[in-house]
Amino acid sequence: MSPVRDHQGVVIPGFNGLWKRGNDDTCPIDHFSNCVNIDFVGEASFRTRPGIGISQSVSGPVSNIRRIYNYPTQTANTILLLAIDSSGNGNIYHIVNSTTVYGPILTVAGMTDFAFVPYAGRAYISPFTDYTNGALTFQSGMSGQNLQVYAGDGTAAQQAAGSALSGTITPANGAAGHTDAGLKVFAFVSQTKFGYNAPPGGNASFTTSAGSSVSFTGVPTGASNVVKRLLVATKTIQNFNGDLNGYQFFFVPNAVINDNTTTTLSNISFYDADLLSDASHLINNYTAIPAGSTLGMYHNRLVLACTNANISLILVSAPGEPEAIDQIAGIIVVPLDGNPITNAQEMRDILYAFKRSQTVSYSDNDGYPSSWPLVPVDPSVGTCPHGIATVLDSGKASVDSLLIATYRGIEQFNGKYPIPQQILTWKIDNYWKNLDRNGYGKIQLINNPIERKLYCTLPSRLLLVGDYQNGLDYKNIRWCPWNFSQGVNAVAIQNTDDVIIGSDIGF
Amino acid sequence: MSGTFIITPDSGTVTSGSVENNTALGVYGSFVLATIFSSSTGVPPPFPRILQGRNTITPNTGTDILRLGFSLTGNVIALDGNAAISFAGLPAGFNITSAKIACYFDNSASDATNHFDLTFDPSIISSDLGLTNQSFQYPSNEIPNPLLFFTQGCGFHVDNTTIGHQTSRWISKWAVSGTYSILTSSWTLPVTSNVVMGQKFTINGASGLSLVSRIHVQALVGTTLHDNVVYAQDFISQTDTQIVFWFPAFNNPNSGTVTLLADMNANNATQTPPQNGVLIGTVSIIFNDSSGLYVLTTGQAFDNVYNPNNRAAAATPVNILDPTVEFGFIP
Repeated sequence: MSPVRDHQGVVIPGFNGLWKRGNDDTCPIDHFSNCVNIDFVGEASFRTRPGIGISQSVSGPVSNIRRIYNYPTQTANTILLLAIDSSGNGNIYHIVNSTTVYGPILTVAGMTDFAFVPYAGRAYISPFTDYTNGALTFQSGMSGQNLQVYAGDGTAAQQAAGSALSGTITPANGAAGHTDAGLKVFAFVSQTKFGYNAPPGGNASFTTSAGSSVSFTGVPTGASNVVKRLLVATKTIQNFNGDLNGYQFFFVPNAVINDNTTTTLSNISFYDADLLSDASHLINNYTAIPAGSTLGMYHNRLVLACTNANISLILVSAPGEPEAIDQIAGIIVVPLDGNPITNAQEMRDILYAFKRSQTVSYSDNDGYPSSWPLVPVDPSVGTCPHGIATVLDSGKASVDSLLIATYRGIEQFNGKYPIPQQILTWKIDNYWKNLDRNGYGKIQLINNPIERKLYCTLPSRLLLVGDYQNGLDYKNIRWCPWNFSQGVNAVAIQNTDDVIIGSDIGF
Repeated sequence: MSGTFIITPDSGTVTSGSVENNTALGVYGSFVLATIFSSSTGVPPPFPRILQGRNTITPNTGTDILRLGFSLTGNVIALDGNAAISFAGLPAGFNITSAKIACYFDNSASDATNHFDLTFDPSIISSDLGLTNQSFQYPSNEIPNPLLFFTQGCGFHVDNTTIGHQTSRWISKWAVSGTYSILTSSWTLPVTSNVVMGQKFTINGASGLSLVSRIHVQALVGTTLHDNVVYAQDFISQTDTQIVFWFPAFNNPNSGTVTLLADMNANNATQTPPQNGVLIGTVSIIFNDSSGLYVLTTGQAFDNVYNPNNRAAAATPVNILDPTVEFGFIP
């Protein structure tokens, strides 16, 4: 019974989070016109948000963190993070666990962010930073920087791809054996410890004899990360025009130097009919892949986008060879509109490319990436470099639908965007749209479907938390910003559902 | 408070493009800014002229633009006819309200047409201008904040329509001038010293505080403007006479002093460019570094942060910043 006579108490049926839409008078009775640092319990209760604890138990914990990613290696779920030092250098560390830190594994002056994709236990890293065009801030790969690859073992990251071997080999007849007699061009392909095959190098022509094998001296050695060199050869050339690079090369079976020191390879026999594995695609590969602001995977190909020189360019590697990117056939140019590509993501067998307010798609037609057909998806909605939610500790987006931070809000994308009334942040539309668009590079979105929570870092360096225990839709999701005494810049999930937060010392 | 300014770069940096200045063709590279900034309109030394492919240029390629960046530390800007000061020496709350580039153009050599433009940032460029005294006014509704204005510089663009023509321009009397205002408030800061991040910070005033949409906590360290923004929607409370907010983590400025500026009327979910830089005051801060890698800890009722005074020491427990809910109107 009400303590005030004739007054009927108002029953609040639940607590459904922040409402920042229209003015405060429109706030429904079961929502908050203002809230901060609360967590939702069950379907209708709330309490103080959980506290945070330190994640590193070492004498010199890494400070001033700008970006963190899940880095699943073959043996553990670890963290890669970017920290800025007092000189303005961006340093990337590999946090194996609370007591083991590798690095910095990469230091780049002026790096304020990086793109990352794991592949076969390795980490592909692309430094990027902010640039301005008039009053707009955007992100693109750093000028003069290239894609890096990190082995995951604490050794320094190295520039991905690599140059052809330099020098000239000397072929000669070897011991008794067999070849198809006639002139051929021979060369060697160096292979790095990351499996990258460089373009053929050391090219030399030689006329083989039918009853002899071929031997080679003066085989050049490669960079320090080269672990083997593979012989390639043309088939017999009837009318040689003198061009040592203009003919189709094939890998010669069983003709490998399994080190980076031996300079001879002896007594190789083969027929032209044995030359089945084409190596000519290596000739046009980037020997140094320019850095971009987006990295991803599609059909087992590495996808890199938004280089410093071309903000509308997507580079796509050969399948299974993330460092082998053809400079002609491996390029996709997203229609130019003056806006940079901000993200690229596979979903349901389609490669989606995003600009800040545009989405297009490409589908693998089993041809070269440059031939993949373009299908416009939405000319008005796009995202930012970290605006696609990763799921749990996978470091990857959902397979069946994407949660995307756009200028409109956080929304579910399943090949098409929802109507505006169904955007997940509909209840906090004002809150979201007040965020400075020039700060969208600071947004990072993760999804914890076990807790049924979304975590999103904001340009204001708060953490926006969306609880969807009552349903992942615009009506039932419950929002609340969380703030901390230190600013929050990055968020990730480790060990299935441990939420990791990276904070810096301010800008 | 308002007044006029004039920028006359003393050692402007050529940020894009290059010029030759020598009378003898074939000698390139050294660029005499004094020629451009001189007040003479007499018979010129034969140029500077844009250098692109030596004696020829390719029109509209972007490389035919000479951009002059302004030194942030040199004394290049004079206010109200006084001695020039540096950007860093500008009073807080300084806003450029109008700007124009003025210069004197003349031709020398083969191309007698008038294909040259004046440009502020690359997106703000004039149409083709004639000879002698010319100027280009910045569009009044698009002037960026002073830092961007300085760092993006200004320049001129040779828009030669005939490939192969020598582009021989004599340019002098180059200056950027305009008006400025310094917006100050009469708001007061109860605490102005030893402020630390995560501290509840208050601004009081007789009125007007309800219109504040963002507060910038700024310091210029070297040539880098550190700018941390607190949004109105994240204030602890806001009325017309008082704002309370959590003081943000701040990159340590050398001086230990930061400036507080307010943006007005930028809310309402519009992205409307705010009215920049109403000066609130300055505050000395104590730098605390509790940055690092954290993990959410279910069931823990406090934040355990890296010890700001000794990061190697045991973590320091701090209170979770005021968990708060406010209901909408309940009948």
